[in-house]
Parts: sequence; structure tokens; C-alpha cells
Amino acid sequence: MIDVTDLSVSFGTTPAVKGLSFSVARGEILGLIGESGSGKSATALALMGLLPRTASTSGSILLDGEELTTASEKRLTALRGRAMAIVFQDPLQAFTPVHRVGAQIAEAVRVHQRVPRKTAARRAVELLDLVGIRDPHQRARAYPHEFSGGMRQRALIAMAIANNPGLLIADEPTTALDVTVQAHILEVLKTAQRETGAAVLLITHDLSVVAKVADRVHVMRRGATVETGTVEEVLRAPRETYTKELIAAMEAEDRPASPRPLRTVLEVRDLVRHHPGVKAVDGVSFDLRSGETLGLVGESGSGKTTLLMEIMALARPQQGRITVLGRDTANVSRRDRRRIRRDLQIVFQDPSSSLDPRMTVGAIIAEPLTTHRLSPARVPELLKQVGLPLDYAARHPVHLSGGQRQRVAIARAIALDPEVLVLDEPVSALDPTIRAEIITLLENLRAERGLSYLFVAHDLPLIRRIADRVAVMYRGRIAEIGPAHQIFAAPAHPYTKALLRASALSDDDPLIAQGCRFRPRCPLYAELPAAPRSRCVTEEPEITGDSGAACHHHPGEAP
Amino acid sequence: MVRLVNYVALIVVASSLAWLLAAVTLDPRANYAGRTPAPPAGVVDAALSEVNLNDKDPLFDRYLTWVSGVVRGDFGHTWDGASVGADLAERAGVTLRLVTSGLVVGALLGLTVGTLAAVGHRGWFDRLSGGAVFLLLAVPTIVLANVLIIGTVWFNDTTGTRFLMVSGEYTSGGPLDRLRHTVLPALTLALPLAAILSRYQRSAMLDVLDADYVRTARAKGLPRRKVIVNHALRTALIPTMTYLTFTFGALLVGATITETVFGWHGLGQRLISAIVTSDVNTVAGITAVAAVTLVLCAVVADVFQRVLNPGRAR
Repeated sequence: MIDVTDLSVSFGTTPAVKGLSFSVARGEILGLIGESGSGKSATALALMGLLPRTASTSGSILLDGEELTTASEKRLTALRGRAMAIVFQDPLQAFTPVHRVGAQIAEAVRVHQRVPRKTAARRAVELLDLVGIRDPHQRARAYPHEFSGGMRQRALIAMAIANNPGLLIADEPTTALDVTVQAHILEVLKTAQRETGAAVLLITHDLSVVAKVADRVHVMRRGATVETGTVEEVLRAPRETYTKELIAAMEAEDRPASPRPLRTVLEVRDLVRHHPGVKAVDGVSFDLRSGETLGLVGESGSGKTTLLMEIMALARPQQGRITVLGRDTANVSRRDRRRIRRDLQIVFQDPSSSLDPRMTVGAIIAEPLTTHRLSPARVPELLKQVGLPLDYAARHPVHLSGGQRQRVAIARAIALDPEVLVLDEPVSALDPTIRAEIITLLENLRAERGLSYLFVAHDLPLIRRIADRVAVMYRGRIAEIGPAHQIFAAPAHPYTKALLRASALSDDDPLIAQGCRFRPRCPLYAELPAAPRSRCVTEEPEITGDSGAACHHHPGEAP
Repeated sequence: MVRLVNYVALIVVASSLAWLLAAVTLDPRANYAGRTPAPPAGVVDAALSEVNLNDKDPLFDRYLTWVSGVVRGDFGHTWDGASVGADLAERAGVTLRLVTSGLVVGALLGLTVGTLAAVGHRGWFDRLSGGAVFLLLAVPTIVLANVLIIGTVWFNDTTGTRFLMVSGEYTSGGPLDRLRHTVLPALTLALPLAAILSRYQRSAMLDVLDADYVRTARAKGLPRRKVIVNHALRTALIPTMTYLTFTFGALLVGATITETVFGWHGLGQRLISAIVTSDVNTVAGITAVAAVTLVLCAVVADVFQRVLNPGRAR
């Protein structure tokens, strides 16, 4: 269907793709894998003829025998959406915010098919139904921001297959999504492929995605091919070191179990934070002991970030209690609050937006020191600790790579010798191999300085590697909490089980006012007989003690 | 409903403050100062008290008189006894015609130029329009107006026609005659407005042209023109329209120079002359009109937002 030979793309003098060759047959799924900057997305845009004008292309792209690199813009416009279609990664932005989702899909239909408006609208509803959007008639009239991330991704797939394309490109279709939703989207992609018989080019940095759906895999690095073969061959017996590294980064080793330390550094009791209309945090309790790492997992919207911000505010919570190093945050003076801040620092997810672009690296790291009237003389030492050359102090964040920026953010956070470090998805914006480096750095710092980490991540293998204990959040509450090895080896809560298996759970479901909030999505609840069910409806399950699951029916709980 | 109350309160506060400020600082008595023979103090006091402008009357009493008049729709009188309400009503009509035509022309011109400049980013049109914009912004209104007048006079003289009129609001009446008088002052307002607006529109367009959804629109095979109009322009209009709506309120009393040069007797011109003759009631009246207009602009801006950006919670 698509035949790429010796494709090279460069932006100015920077090469993005170097001599890439591959082909995808009708009905086949090829996984194109590599880190960001490996040229995957440039390849996708080259196939669609959507590269910016500054890019130059050489080589050959044959779509069903037709050469695309030399095709006119007019011809490409005719082919786009009809012969070849693309599903972009969904950050909210993939749909025009001011038009209804259904209208945008219908528009795609009407560009290539001479059908009346009404027919196109009906087709849009059918397509939404096909990709598993519940209530498609009504949903078609919704605006993009009224859709959840998973639903938008489904709708994008619906739009891409609107004209039964011969080639379907999916560019990181699951990257922005939660694991339980990812599994769904991959199913939908497979359905779409079956319905249209298209050749699918699946672009991702996530080996596990490729392992699940692709027939063959093509590993890229720095614009060139590293290795290619069937999924079986490449994943079971990789020949190249780089592929082996990628696979190793995917697999986790457990952190050895050890008894809990005695000193509590952070204690949260029955914490509540309600925004108008949203119970962001709805009764959360846990404690973090000295030198311990608590991994906090949960899908987006589960209240993780709100929880962190409540802790970082060091103020009186709406309800409940937060105790940092033995001090209740509800009644500390302004001066004490400053003092506590030295011991409680945070590293944010995206180092490109959390560092002031106008400050030098040196100034960024020195700022906490000077704020607390300490000498900035430690800056070189801190740079060394996070593995950055000393001359980086004079540079600005834009001149650093993502991994280096995150090192700066870490140096800034440890400048005041804190006891507790809050890490909010510290590596999820980074590439797998860089990610491994930053994790190693964090592990070393923990060992050297006896730091306690409150570590938020949606990447479960990562949590498994770094955390001593794990708390799983669902809709503002902790669904399950306990030692990491126990949670991973024998999860008790049905939600934890679904997360670990990355099995599909429905992605649009109602809010629950009473009883167990997980029950609309709960596979266990669905199979329960009526009598034990009633308890799920009337009574909110609670966790007692420092480990356990908020479920009435898990094995440890009396039925 | 809450918003409506807020708006009314805003208008009341703004006009009251304007009246108070004018009443405290302006000195209507000065209008009698240069007279020979000097009129007796008692006569002046009586004349000023008659129109509620006597600074010897208690301020609060004067304020109450003014307020009770305004509530009944009576904006008071000028120092020489003319009705402020009637004067302003006529002038508001004049200004409204001027500003509306200037705004419409300026908006269309600015949006078109800005959009085209963004689409051809760094191309010849972008550079050319950028240069023209900076030239227009660097030239003061009074110079621009006179250049337009001189150009038109030259054009009329060489061609022997008299299509465009350079002064006054009308000569004989009739729609065509009024239009011939409107072109030049409207252009004087429209050109600088279009210049600024085109830069706003250009940067708004540049933002959205890079957006993912524009790429999505292209990927589904829409022709370029449709992508630009239905997806990019449509979204870029949201911030620009808000800017534009509030410009209207600012122009209503801010077109003084244009009004003066072209001899249009509008609100901006009247505001200046009222300050010169210390007509407290006129100043307060014009401020009240401006406040009402600004509030109406806010309402219109809100309507635009609802139309252009549907489904959003506000």
C-alpha cells in the first residue's frame, strides 16, 4: 500500500530523517518506534505532505503506486483524508475548539464525497458509534472540550476513517491517555483497521503499544533505521543494543522490601478539597516516613495534582489535617511556613515551563538559597550532584535538553537540603533512555541524602522500580494503599487490578454521589449477585490502617 | 441579572464622579469675568444658580438637583441656558455615524490585511503591510487628515470633479451627499484603527495557523482557503473582536481631532469646548453617554464571544 524508499527529510541543515525505507501492506500494522527527535513524526508528516515549507525531502514515497514526493499540492489535498489519513496525538488541540465534533467529522466526509449535509451528519454519528462513543447522536453535537481525552482520541480515529483510507497513520495515539483508556483506544484502532482494511502505520515511543497491536516493528533512532522485523523477533530477540535498552527500560525490577522507618515526615489525614462542582480531593489519608518513597498513581482527574498542591500550600485545608515534620499546617506562623518550605520542595512535570526562561541556570539554582538568606556558593556543588557541567550555570534553559532541564529543576529543589521532595510526574515528559538516567539520579540522591519522596506518576513500571509504598487514587480518594511489592504482586482493589493489567475500563461514566465511586466501572460489581451489591450502592468503602483497599469485596475483607 | 445591576451601578458611579470632578474644578463664573461693563455680582449669581452652576450654592444641593434632573431625562443646561440634552442628542448622532463608518471600514481593512499578512508570513505582503502599518501609526491623526484633504483637493482640481467633500457633515442633505462627506473623516479614523487591528489579527492568526487543529483540518483534505477561513480565521477572530468592540467606546468621545479638522460637530469636539466654557453639565452628560456606550460595548463583546466561541462556560 505504502512504499517508502530512502526517505530523507531535513529542516534547514538539520537532518530529521536519514535514508529511511519501509513498506506497509494492506491490512498490516507496522509499528514505527523511537524516541522524540528520532524522526518518527517528521516521517508521518512527510507521508501526508504536511511538512512545513522549510523542510526539504528526498527519496521516494509511493502510495498505491503513486509518487507523493513530487505530487502537486492540489493532488495531495485530494489524497489527504481519502487515500491516506492520520490520527494525531490528542492534546485537546487536535479539534478546532469552536466547531462541534460531529460537524468536524461531517466536514471530512463532505470534502471527499458529494453527499448532502444531512447524510454527512448521519455518517458522522455512525462513525462515532463505530469507535465506541456512547450516545453518539447527542455526543456529535458536543464541542471538543466537552469530550474526555479518550473520547477525543476516538473521535479523531472516527474522522480519519471517514473516507475508508487505504493508509491510516496513527501518531502516538495513546501517549496522552491513561492506561485503562489506552487499551480501549488500541482496540478501536484495530476495529478501524478491520473495517477499512487499511494499512496502518503506528507511530509510538511505547514498546508495549507496539507489542499489543503491531504485526511488524521498525525501530528508529536519530532519523535512521536501527532494526526491523516482526514484533516477535524484535521483542524476543533484539539484535541491536539500542533496542535492548528500550526493552530494558520497559521492564521493571522490584525494589527490595524493607520494614518501614519509624519517623513520620508527612502525614495527611482525611484531607478534603472541593472545588465548586468537583470533589477533587475527597477524604485522603496517608503518611510518608523518613527515607521512604510513596508512589502516587491514578488517572488524570483523580485528584493527584490537587492533593500535591494542597500539601505544598502549607495552609489550613478545607477539612482534614496535614502535618509536615510534626507541624500541623493549619496553625503555623508565616515565618514557620517559610521554614517548613525549606524542608518540603517540589519538582514539576514539564521542565520547559517550570523554569524561568529569562534566568540563567545558575540564577535558578541560587534563587532558593538567596531567598532563605543562604550563600549561593553551593551552586557549583549542586550542579555537580545532578551531573551537569559547571559552565552550564551561565546558560539559559532554552539551550538545555529536556533531561538537562529536569536536572536543573532537581538541583533547585535540593538546594535547601529538604527532607521531603514532591515529584509530580518528573520524567513523563522525557524520552525512555533519558528517563532512566533521571530516575537513577533520583535514586542516588535518595540514598546519599536520605530523602523522602512523594512520587506522582502514571507510569507503573517506574513506580514499581522506585517506590517503597504505593497509593492508588481514584476520583479524589485512595482506592488502595500498601507496600509496593504487595500492590504489584497481589492487588486487592479491582481498579488497581485493571490498572496493572492495563485492561480496558469504560472512559465516560457518571459521577457517583453515594456508595462506592468506582462501581460504574467496576468489573467485580458487574458480576456480583444482588445482595452483596447493595453494600456497594449504599456504603462508601474505607481503608483502615496504613495499608488496604477501599473495596467491600476484596479477598482481605469479610464479604 | 447581577451583571445588569453591576452595569447600572457602573454608569451611575462614572457619571457622578465626572459631575463631581467637573463641578469642583471648573469655574463657570469665568465666563462673565472679561465683560465690560462687569455685570453686578447678584445678577451673575442668579444667572448661574438658574442653570445650577453657581459655586456658592452647596455642592451637595447642586448634585441632588443634577441627579433629579438626569433621572427625569433632563441633563441640565449650559452656562448660557441652552439645553444639554438636545445638544448632545444631535451630536451623538453625528459622532455615531462617523465612528460607525470608520469602525466598519477599519475593521474590514484591518482583519483582511492582518489575515493575509499572517498567511503569507514573512512574504512580500507581510513586509509591505508591516511597513505601511508602522508608517500609519507614526503619523499623527491631524497630519493624516490633512494629507487626505490635500490629496482630495488635488484630485478634485486635476479631474475637475467634486466627488469627495473635505469639510462639513452635509451640504444639501440626501444619502449620497452625506456619503461624500463621510468618506474622508471615516478613512481618517479607519486607517490607524486598521493599522493596529491588522497587527492584532496577524499575531492571532499566526498563533492559530500553527495549532494542531489547523493541521488536522489540512490532514482531512480541506483546501487551503477553507482551512484558513473555517478553522484558523474563525478562531483568531475571538480575541480580535473583543478588542474591536471596546475600540468603539473609546472612539465615541475620542475622535476629537478628526471631528475638528473635518468640521463635524460631534461629541469629542463638544467635550473640549465644554471644558473651555466650564459647562459642568455638558461634561457630565458626555461622560454619562460614554459610560453607557462602554457598557453596551461590553454587552456586545459578550454576545460576540457567545457566537464565536460557543459551548464555553463563562
